[in-house]
Formats: sequence, C-alpha cells, structure tokens
Amino acid sequence: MDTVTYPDDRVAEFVEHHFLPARLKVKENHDLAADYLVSWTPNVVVTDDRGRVHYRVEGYLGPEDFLSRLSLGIGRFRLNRKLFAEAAARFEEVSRRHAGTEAAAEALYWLGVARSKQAHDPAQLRPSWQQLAQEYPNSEWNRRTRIPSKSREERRG
Amino acid sequence: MTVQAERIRWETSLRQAQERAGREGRAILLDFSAAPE
Repeated sequence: MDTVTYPDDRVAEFVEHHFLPARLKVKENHDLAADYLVSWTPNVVVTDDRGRVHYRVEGYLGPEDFLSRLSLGIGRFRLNRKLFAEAAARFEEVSRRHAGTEAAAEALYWLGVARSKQAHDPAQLRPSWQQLAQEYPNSEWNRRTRIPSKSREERRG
Repeated sequence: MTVQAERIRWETSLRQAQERAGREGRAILLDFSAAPE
C-alpha cells in the first residue's frame, strides 16, 4: 500500500479530507490488533471514537479500488450514525464514479437501504435495487436483495 | 515513494485519534501495518 496506493495524490487527498488517519504497527500493538480482529495485513479499518468498526478493507488494493472502498466506508459510517441523506449522497457518488465495479454494486445496495431508512418506507429500497438488478445482475450484492419467500408448506405450518 | 507516502499525516496514537474523532464527529481510518516503515 505504501509503494503505490497511499502515495497516489487522489488517495492521499481523500484520506486527509474525509478521515483522521491513524497507523499502528502490528508488532508493537498486538492487543489492539487482536481487539480489531486483525489477523492479516494490509488491514484497514474505518472506525470511530468508541472503537466501533464500520467498514474494513483487507488485502492489497490499487488506488482506484481503494478509493471506492474508502468512499463506501464513509457511507457506512454515515448510515450507522443515522445520517441517511448524507449516506445516500455518498453511495450515489460511488455508484456513479465507480460504475461497472463491484463497489458500485455494493453502493446501490446500501443506497436503497439509506433511502428506505430516511423515508421510513421499505418501498424506497426498490429503485436502487432495481437498478442494481439491471446493471449488475451477476453481482453478489444483487443476490443479497432476493429474500426467499416461505414455501407453501412453511406458511401452512 | 517514502516521501510521497508521508503526504498522509498518520497519527500514531489511537487514543489521540479517537479524542479528535469524538470532538469532530469524524471517522478514523486505522491502518495496521505489518513491518516498520
């Protein structure tokens, strides 16, 4: 990450603008690494002042992929803090800026969630999830939208 | 590369980062690195 991804101007600017960046050496911070369930590096966690984990990136990613994940992490951080409009704006941006990637599919999934929470209306899941189905039919995120209905026998029982 | 990497001003105290995050309502990007830089 230090040779390509972090030195990238876009990554550095995004990190400085959106996060408080902190770095710990695993060898010198065994207990904290264990607390954050770090069993492999690279391991980058979006966390908060209380140590809660909102998003995690494991393994090496190049600048473009890393940017999309950082952006998703900001969205999830906002969603968890019930800042639904701000979360939706972030997910929308990921879906546009990183169109065609798995991150964009993930963003559409969470965009539906943010909008439905904002409106207190599950029907608001539909527009984003329909877009997800149309544009990313083979994505795991699309499969996650399909909640199996109970079989007739289960309903009878 | 090392000079460029330092463009990100990494905090090395998690506690200090958490105090700032609490005050400013911001997220912490916590990077666990494997080896000394």
